[in-house]
Amino acid sequence: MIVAEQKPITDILDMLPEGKRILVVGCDTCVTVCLAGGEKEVKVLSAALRMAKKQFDEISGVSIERQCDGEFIDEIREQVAAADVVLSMACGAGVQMMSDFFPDKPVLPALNTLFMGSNEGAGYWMERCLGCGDCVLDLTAGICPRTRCSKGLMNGPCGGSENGKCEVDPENLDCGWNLIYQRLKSLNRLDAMMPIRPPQDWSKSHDGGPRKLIREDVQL
Amino acid sequence: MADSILIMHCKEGAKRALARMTEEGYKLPARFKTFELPCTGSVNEVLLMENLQNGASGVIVLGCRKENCKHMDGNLRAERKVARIKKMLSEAGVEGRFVEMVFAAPDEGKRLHDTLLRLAHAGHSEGKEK
Repeated sequence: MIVAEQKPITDILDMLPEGKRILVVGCDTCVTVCLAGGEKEVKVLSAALRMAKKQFDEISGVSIERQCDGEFIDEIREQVAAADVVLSMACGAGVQMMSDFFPDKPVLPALNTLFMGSNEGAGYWMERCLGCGDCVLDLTAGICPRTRCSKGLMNGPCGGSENGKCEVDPENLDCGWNLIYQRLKSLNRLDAMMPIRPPQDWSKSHDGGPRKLIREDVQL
Repeated sequence: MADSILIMHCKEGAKRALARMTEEGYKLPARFKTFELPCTGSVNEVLLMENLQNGASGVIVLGCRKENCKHMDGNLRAERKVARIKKMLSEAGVEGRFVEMVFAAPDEGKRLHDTLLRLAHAGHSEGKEK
């Protein structure tokens, strides 16, 4: 899922124009799971804005299934029309999609989008995927070297790996390549460590503008 | 609701502390309202914020003494939630409303009474001064 966190309320208040009608819009998918921008967070933030020193004409709130999907955005057209400013509690994709749908309304971000990751425990999320467009998890026992190795090395571990930890943070950070080695060993696949891998082809990652995925077989 | 102070308390040590306070003859002003939770660890941030937004001048989350929570660390989790809400209210410049975490043991009737009145007075004064 996409992991995000709420911006400091001081930043949110700075970007909101005084005396306007604000619609706070939550997103019920990824950012709900990471407790940043779901229905509950919309209610808490809306209440804080209503009580804030900076005064607004009206604060209303609504949450939709996904802000990155037009069919759900359509559900709130009337509410958006009745507002001067939309404060989106979605990830960056949702904020931009809302901006596309409502070109005459300022759509402002209430969250900082952080990464694609997993839920590791209560209140703990970790990055798992860079979205590099060239997955090698089949070769690395399901552990991504680009994400889990601090240096994103394709051939590791490097000399900064000691006792399974990374020199970047020897107390808390596992060496990604040590994890790969241990996992390959447990799978009896250590031979997969031997080939020298070529440098990452970053042309498949963020390069030359936004990436697009088009599947003609499902297009109408 | 206006000018009221909501005490959100657990049904264990904090509830018994409130009962002890009453048994010892310490009464709270009528503006104090109570709301019972199974444990303060389950305190709902939405309910807390909406009570303030709807006019309560303060919300006090009242839990067991530290290390005496029946659910191990519910009171400590409540303390962290309250701290987060307090920070948000402070940074938003919210005036005249407060949120506080209080811990009490069942034998602390007088101390609890004094603490609640002090918080109510401090919150009330703050609201009037600004």
